Amino acid sequence: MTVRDLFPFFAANPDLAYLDSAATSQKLGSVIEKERIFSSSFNAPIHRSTYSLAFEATEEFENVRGKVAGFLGARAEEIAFSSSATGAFNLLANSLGYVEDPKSPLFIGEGDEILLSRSEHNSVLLPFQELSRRRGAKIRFLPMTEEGEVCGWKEAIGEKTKVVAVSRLSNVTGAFAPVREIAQEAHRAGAIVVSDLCQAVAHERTDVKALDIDFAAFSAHKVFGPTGLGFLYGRKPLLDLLPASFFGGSMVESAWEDKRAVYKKAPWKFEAGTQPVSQAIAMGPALDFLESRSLDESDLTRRLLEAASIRGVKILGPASEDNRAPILSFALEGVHPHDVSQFMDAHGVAVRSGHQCAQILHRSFGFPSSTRASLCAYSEPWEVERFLDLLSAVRPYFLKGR
Amino acid sequence: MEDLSNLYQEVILEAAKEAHGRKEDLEGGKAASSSHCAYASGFNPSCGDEVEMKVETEGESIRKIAWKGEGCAICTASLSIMTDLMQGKSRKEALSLYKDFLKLMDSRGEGEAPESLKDASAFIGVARFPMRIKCALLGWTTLKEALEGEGK
Repeated sequence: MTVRDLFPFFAANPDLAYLDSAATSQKLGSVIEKERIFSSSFNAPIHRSTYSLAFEATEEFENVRGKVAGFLGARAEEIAFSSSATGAFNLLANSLGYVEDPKSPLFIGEGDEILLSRSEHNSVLLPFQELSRRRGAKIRFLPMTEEGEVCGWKEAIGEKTKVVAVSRLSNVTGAFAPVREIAQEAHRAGAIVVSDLCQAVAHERTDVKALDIDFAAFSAHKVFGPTGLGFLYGRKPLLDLLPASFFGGSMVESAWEDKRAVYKKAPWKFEAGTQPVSQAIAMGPALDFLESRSLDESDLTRRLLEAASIRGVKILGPASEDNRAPILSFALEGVHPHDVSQFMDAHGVAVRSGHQCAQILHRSFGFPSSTRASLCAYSEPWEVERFLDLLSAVRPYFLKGR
Repeated sequence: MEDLSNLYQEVILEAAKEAHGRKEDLEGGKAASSSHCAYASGFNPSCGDEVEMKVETEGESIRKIAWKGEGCAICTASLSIMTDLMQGKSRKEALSLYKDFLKLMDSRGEGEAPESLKDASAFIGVARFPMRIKCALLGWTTLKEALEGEGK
């Protein structure tokens, strides 16, 4: 039994080289099965009714919160459920916009600065850009090296800096960022540290305490789980201080006609309305898998990086395999990324093409878009071999006679 | 790989290389004193490709189309073939060709392309790939915008 056998998708598509796991991973059979069983036999509302099925559903749901916390090295009360990582970052940025007390460590006001790395995904960039617009704050970007690695944070972080957002692993460059070092500098300046963990958790054991992160998020569908589900991590004292910004059932203790409602404690105050319950419960087996999988992907990364020696290939990211995950974005001289991916598709290889929700990073590299091959725990060497063979054939196909 | 050669027909691959009408600088070259220039730009948000276009008209007819931009093979070939096809056409004929091309893109690759489209009928294969229709249409919608912006 190989890791691949745990994923029904590959039995249905045995001949496809699926190299787009950074966009969405395939789902574990155990995840699909768990959701099916819950929905068909145990479905009940959580956090309200008192009959035994409802109690069991609530318990399973809360167990997953605990598992997510364990996976990140956090406590259960530090994890809020959300619809996606995008949902979690919107929740965070919107809630920061609700902070009224100028003395709060979470207050962002006129002239304050929000510092982002250039490789932030649009799901981090845009919520914070909107927050800065509403609050009269300024968005600034950290410099990057030619290989797209974040640098210069010591000089960039200052007393105006209120938020520093650096994703742990870029979905474009495949490089891990030194979040711990950046966080130490940010904390010295009194700023909070936000880190997008969507890609990182697929490739490493990410510990939010070791990295010294204040807020983070990841989505379930990129780590073998269901879509429609994401998680927000917030360091306990800060999560307590963060106001709710999405209101409704389940998040409230008591509501009156003539005074402001009293909301539940964190993290439940962030979970208005019925949560994606069956998806959350189905995430349990994915977390078990994440705890048990092998994390050694260096062989796949090394093979993938052989693309650099193919004529016309320019890698958007570090060329060395150190401190890197098997995510490779590249430009191919004379051939547009759409044509590269179309050519690969016709030969049984699924790769991403476009700006990958990271337009700022692409502009910094001087390319409007790129092609990306991304691997993860179930990827196999033959997929990389086929990708490399095809990559050598792309320019001759499109540029013949030139 | 029948699908691939259906999409990238020889005439398309050739046109992508030749890129008729592509200019480094849209203001290079002299326009005839009796002609009028209209400009428009187009953008494909899925890949970030941009095209800037200058349409030179004399009376009711299109004298010359020049464009600037980098795109995929489909986008570039479509611009090139459209540039050739529109040469000397009246505004009305151009808009009617635009409609024919739009219909071709909506055809899901079924049926036959109208004869009026000439080489542009090679894009019938693109209609089977919904993700690529925007690539083929970029130049055409930009031209339409330039022509209609004119009338306003």
